[in-house]
Amino acid sequence: MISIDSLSFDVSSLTRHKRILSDITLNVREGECFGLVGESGSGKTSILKCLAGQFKGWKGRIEVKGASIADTSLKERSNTMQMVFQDPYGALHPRHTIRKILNEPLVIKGLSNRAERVEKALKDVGLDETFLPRYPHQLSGGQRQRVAIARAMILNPSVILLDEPTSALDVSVQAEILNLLASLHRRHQLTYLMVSHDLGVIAHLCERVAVMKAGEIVEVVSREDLVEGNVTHPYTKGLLQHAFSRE
Amino acid sequence: MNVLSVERLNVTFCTDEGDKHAVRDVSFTLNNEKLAIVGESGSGKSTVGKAILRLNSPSTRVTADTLRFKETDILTCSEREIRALRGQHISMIMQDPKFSLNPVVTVGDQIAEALRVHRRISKRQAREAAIAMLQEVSIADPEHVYGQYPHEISGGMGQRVMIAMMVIPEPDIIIADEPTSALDVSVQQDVLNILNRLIEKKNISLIFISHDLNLVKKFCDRVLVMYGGRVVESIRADELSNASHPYTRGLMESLPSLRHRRETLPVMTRDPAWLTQEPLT
Repeated sequence: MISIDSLSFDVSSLTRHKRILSDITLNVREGECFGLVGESGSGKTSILKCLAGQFKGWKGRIEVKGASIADTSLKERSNTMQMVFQDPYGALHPRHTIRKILNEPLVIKGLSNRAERVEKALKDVGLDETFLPRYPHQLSGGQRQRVAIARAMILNPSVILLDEPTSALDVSVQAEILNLLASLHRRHQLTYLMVSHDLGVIAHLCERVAVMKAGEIVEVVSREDLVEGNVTHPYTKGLLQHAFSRE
Repeated sequence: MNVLSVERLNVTFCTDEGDKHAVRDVSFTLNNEKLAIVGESGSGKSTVGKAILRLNSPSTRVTADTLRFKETDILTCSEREIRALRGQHISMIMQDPKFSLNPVVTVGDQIAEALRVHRRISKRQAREAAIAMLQEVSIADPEHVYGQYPHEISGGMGQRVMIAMMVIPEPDIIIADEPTSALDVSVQQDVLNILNRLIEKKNISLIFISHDLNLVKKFCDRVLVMYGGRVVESIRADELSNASHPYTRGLMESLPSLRHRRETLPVMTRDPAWLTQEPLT
């Protein structure tokens, strides 16, 4: 579904040259939930941003559903791929009602039956139509994240990019959102590419995970190998040991 | 001996939209120990920490039967007395070093300043003490770091600088409000080890405010679990896995686990009675 081949990304200014991503190659199968784990600055979010079109000027080849994303416009790309961000407080327009927030992608695409689609998308994430006239500040963090997920789902994409979707939430709310993501994944045959720094969250949702360090993928492991500790790279071992010692 | 005693502490925020009762009847005593206050956002844990230092805004109403540090009554003492308390006897480490360090003063001068407001010592002595302190928090090249500005150092280093600054006046109590939640996991452990070593060496009591149950289970001696502004359970940290309050158990169970994966995570149903019951001990 997603195939990334020798992706590199550099940022340079007059005085400095910095390599953000170096030679990333990975393949995400259709219907898979794939995780990216690593510390801040390891480049995990940068991969999502290259995919989502927020970063330009990367080198290499990225294909989504068999089509190179360098050749597809952002508008076309948004039909197949949507993103959910870390901070539900920053991701929703503070002066738009929930109705307007969910309506906007439909207006941009010129789709009909908007009211119907908006209500269905809300119901899909466990909210009802009483939320429509409200503003984001009237919602809790978990409810906002549900709205952000509904907005991503409303165009029926096949791929959803999740950038730390639960790290700004309390643990009890995190459990609700993880359950929601798992159930949407099952019901709609979605493909997830999820970034997290929490191995517990990754192992809960993802079948495979790529461990990143300093802009490179050091290892790709399956969930089974991860929970049994069958990892080879010392960096992964360190992360895993730390995660186990916390439980 | 009790270093700090708190009895029936109540905090109310008075706003245009009415009063918000954020902390309700919180009571605890702090001995020479590491006490954790855990809870979800909005449970009132940080508000308790601020009330101890009388840092709440003027529109906040704070009442308590007792709020005493050793012989000093925190609620009624003068502004001058509370200033003498802050920093020298009770100090506070905030969540994010990016926002709590002064961006236009070198980190070394900030540490030296923390000492100079409380002690009558020369600039040179303060500088030497600050460099020694930087060494104590495991900073490799303290002379060099002394002259750096906060934006030039990493988050983990910034938090170690914060610890150095709070420990250097040798207070009796440190209140640490989520000191590691802005840091990467590999750095978190280093910072906690340094904090632990210093408070044990200097015999400092710690109030550790956190939302991370797994972390306090390992790091602290005793845990107060807060929900809706109240303490619902007070429990020994190593007993957390066998907690009896449904809220504490709910929090523990909702964490995704590497060892025992479940298809669906248990979701808590909140009982309104939790807001009125007496805390479990």
